[in-house]
Amino acid sequence: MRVDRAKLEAFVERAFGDVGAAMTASLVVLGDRLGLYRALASNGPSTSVELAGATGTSERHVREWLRAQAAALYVDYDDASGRYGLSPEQAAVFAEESGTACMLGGFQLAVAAGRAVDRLEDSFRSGSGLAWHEHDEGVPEGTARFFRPAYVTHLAGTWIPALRGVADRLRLGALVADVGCGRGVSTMLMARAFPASVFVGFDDHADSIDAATREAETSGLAGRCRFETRGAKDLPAADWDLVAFLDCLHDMGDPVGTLRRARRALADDGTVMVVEPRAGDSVEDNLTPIGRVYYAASTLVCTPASLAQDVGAALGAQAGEARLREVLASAGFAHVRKAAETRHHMVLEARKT
Amino acid sequence: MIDPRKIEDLVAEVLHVPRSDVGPDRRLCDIADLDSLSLVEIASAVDDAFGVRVPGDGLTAILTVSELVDLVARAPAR
Repeated sequence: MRVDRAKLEAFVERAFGDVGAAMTASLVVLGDRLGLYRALASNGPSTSVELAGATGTSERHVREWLRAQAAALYVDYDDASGRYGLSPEQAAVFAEESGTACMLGGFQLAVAAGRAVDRLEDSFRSGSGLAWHEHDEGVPEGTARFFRPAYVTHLAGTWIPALRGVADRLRLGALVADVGCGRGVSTMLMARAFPASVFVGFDDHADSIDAATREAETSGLAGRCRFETRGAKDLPAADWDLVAFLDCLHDMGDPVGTLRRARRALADDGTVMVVEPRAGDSVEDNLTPIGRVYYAASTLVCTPASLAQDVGAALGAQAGEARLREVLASAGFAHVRKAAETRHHMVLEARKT
Repeated sequence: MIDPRKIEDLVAEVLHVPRSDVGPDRRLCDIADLDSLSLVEIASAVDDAFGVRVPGDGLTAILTVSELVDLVARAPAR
């Protein structure tokens, strides 16, 4: 079949735009690390000389960076004054770390995950996996920052209240395990929201647990929010009132075995909360801008991570509700219900009875 | 002094709910279905009205309106 000139032009243009986006990703990471966005946000529109002066960086590098940022429409350029500045929207995305529109974590994750490309080439040929701890340290840190806005917005205020009876129990004083907690973003948000309860975050990635422990100490949560380096299948039996898995079940080598373990460790009337990326059951459902991000992250990080562990179930980050229900049923949960759904996530509730 | 009623007006406006839905003891997440951008809008509206930067890590969906007023009162001026 011959190429259609118009279709080819349009597709080449789209792919070229993606080349620009891919190259710009590293520049965003540089701007984040060097404080370039934050300086633009706090100092207002600046020339390259002013921005380099404010950040202790080399003007010639910064000048080129600013031009690239302006071409990406990530900063605004005023030709008359020669100054570059951030609109309120650009500042919300690139300069406000703790704000819920911040995208810096996504760029950090994308660039850091890409560093594994040589080892992934080998994995693709051999079928072997690639564990979380084998990635650049920007992968766990970027992941924590990437998910934080959704957790700040929904976890304590929407998702937990959607589980039957759980919020009341947490208000009175409950014991909660946050399995696969990474750097503890979700654990600490829950601990702040439910001050009468005790939270323990578990993850087999020791560096993330160290970071979480330091953060809990500096934020005054250390008394009732602690962290342990421990794999999900070694969750201690403690009559947990709630066992939470946030965006991590699909990374597990043996999700069924992990959930069986959670079921045994749970109080008889306890609840398991599984939060996973919102996805349809068919591939076609997920061929969307959001699905593109999650399929890519899943190919680079989640699927290889699962394949690096025993069983290697490799659910993928967009397993879909039907597959997740099968996994929960195989683990012996008699009651499974979709409790909530937000733009990026679905929340499944599971109980023993 | 921050006038709590001005913050309540602002929350109602940003979340597109009737003013009567916003009271001091109501949590932001119970007033409307929030998305992650709603919190950014609230912070920006507060900044615009009062000239203060609400710390993002303090502004969460489970704040009550009166807790938001306290947060604004303690926030550093721009």
